[in-house]
Amino acid sequence: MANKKFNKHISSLREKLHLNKKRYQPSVDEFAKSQQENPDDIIVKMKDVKISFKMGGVERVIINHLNLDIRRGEILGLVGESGSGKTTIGRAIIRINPVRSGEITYNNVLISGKIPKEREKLLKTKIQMIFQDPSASLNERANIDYIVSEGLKAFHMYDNEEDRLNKISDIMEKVGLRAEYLNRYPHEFSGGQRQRIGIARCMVMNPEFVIADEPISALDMSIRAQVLNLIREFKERNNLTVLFIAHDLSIVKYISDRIAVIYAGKIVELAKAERLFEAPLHPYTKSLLSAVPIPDPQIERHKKIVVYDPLMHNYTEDDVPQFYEVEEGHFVRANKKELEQYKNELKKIGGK
Amino acid sequence: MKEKNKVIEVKDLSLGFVTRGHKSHVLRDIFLDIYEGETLAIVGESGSGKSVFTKTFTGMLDSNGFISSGSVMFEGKDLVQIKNNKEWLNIRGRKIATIFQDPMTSLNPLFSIGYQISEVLRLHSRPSKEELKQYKEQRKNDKLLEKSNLQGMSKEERKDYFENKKIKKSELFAKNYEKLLNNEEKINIFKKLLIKYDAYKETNYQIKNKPHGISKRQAKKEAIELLKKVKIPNAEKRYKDYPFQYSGGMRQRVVIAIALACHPKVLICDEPTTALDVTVQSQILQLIKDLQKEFNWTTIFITHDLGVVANIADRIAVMYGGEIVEYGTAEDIFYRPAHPYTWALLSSLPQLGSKDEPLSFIPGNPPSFAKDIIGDPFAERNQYALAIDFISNPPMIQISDTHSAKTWLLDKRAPKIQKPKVILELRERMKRAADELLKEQGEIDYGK
Repeated sequence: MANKKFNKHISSLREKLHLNKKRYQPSVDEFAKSQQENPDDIIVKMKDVKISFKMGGVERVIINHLNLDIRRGEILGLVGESGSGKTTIGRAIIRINPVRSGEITYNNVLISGKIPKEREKLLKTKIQMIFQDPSASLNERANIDYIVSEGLKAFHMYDNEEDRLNKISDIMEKVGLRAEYLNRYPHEFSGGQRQRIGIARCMVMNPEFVIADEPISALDMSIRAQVLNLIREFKERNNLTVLFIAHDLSIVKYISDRIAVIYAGKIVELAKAERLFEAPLHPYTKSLLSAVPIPDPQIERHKKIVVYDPLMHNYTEDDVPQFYEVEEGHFVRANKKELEQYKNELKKIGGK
Repeated sequence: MKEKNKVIEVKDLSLGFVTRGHKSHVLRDIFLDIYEGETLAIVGESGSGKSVFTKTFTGMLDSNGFISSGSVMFEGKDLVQIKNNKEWLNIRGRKIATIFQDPMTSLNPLFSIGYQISEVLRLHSRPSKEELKQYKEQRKNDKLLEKSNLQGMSKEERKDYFENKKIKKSELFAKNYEKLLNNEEKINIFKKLLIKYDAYKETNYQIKNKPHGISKRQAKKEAIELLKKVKIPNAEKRYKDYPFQYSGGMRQRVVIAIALACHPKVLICDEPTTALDVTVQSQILQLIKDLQKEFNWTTIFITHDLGVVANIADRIAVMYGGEIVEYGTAEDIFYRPAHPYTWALLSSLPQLGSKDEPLSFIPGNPPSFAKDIIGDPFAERNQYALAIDFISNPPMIQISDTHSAKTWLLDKRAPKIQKPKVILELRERMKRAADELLKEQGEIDYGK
């Protein structure tokens, strides 16, 4: 009995504490300040990044010498096969995977390695992530209300209970779910709806930068279109920057402004979405393009699949391939001989 | 159209599940013929009943499922009537094999890849109980006959008889030994001994006419042969590896090898490429196509991606809400789609979308089977729905010899409607997509 009373007392105390807690406001918004000081087009900059894991005492380098700029307000598609390290890159930006060397900056402020706790906290309000499998990434035991507002609670980004509810029901409406669903649990929803909840959870934080890690790979064909539309809608409304990770070029083409093709931890080609489809240069990009299924039996039966063999380049030790800019905004990984060849190819295809 | 042999004939199949004492009807009145050597694709959203439908072919329905009416004819036998698991074992795996979606869950992580393939080979080559029983009786009769023969012989004749038998046995042994020796590539003393043992066993079986399965070593050889067939490099070395050492695509290849092991007549592929990358997906599809040419089986291909289907299917059946709403040849479905659901599926493909307009999608959710569906199950999500769709379920209306669709729009009394924009421009958009993606391959044959 006494125990019960004690518990009640504690919970009431907690409630008071919770209500009196002030809304999270960073003492200095380093990122905004840095942006004001030197307004820059680039939001995330990765410089010579190396990511490795230790497996059984052996260090395995997943990504080495990675340089990648993500521009403000764009959707950058990151395409590659499974195991190529595309998810690892996404997770490194949001500090889930540690970076061994090199640096990642956000608005010209360092965010990799050891950084002040306050900066890390601030960063996590700015960057959000959408995960692949909507059934695995939602807590089965929590209701939607809790799932969506978990981020808000963690940073106390609301004035009072009413404000929080308003925010949540507002976001639910925006992703096309009814506010009365808030008391339900994830298993009561279909795959598409679950992914919408995942998007709502991400967007309620009002992020500047979103990492979408294969958000539609696990979904049905008819639902994919809904989720793609939703991400694009949010991007236009909030001026988001999105890193869109996928393995299917056809989907990325529809949604992204620029596309980076990654193979075995190295970016092999980077170009504007239309240009990459017009003038693919690297053989791996070509093989990816040929693998996209076309919904036409006549064409599909006659097409040949290009299989990429990494040994075809014959790179030697003194002849290390580098990332060259073959034309404006179009980068490709090649050695000098290949670079000439690619340039000739571009001449044949013609300008933009 | 040529008359083809039907492999599986589904007639008026209805099926349901009992959950918490409540009956729900999942499949309703399905008619479908599957012809020999063709590839039939079944397309539909998750929850449309496409997996459940093919599970009736192999008797893998969950225990709370029941078939309320209809028949599935396979080799003159009604599969619906089979209740006995022993009877199923003759069909499942041996004649109708299945490849599942996730190769990690269909392979056992505790056993090596090689063991799992040779296990299937050995299991299915094992003689049945009836065969063994028959053999026992035969053996008994033979012995009695020999005894009576021996009684009529003189002492010397008897000696000759046994001598003859011995010589015959040793000759047979030599033959078997040589045969097995020739098959092996590298031979050391230990292996020679093993081969001797095998040859001895084989000879014994042959003399006694005993039915027997293949030996472990023979199974290993065949398993490696199968691994080579599904294009796994270094098959001899990878035989001993475990599933976790294989990549996703390779695992799916192993599953295909296991399905291949018994030379099935029908191969059911239940979303075999959904968990795979696009590049690997195209390779696996090519593999299935090549092997089908070689072994001449019938493929039933289940998927939710219409793009994948274009590559592999001869005929397509579109399923929605537990019914087949449209079926026809691949050309029928892609060039002359008739059902609004097929329109919606086609127009939601991102390959055909362009950047200036949002992708079209199907609003709402597939119907729940908990309640009985009145009228057309697609009516609620259908922007072309007529008033009658909510009242009565449309009949299957034939459009051509090969093409039928289940929609009231094809009825004579139905009003003419404007098809969606994507469907009208379908051919152009497909060509545009093909031009972009396959520019490298020069001239593309667009057909008619």
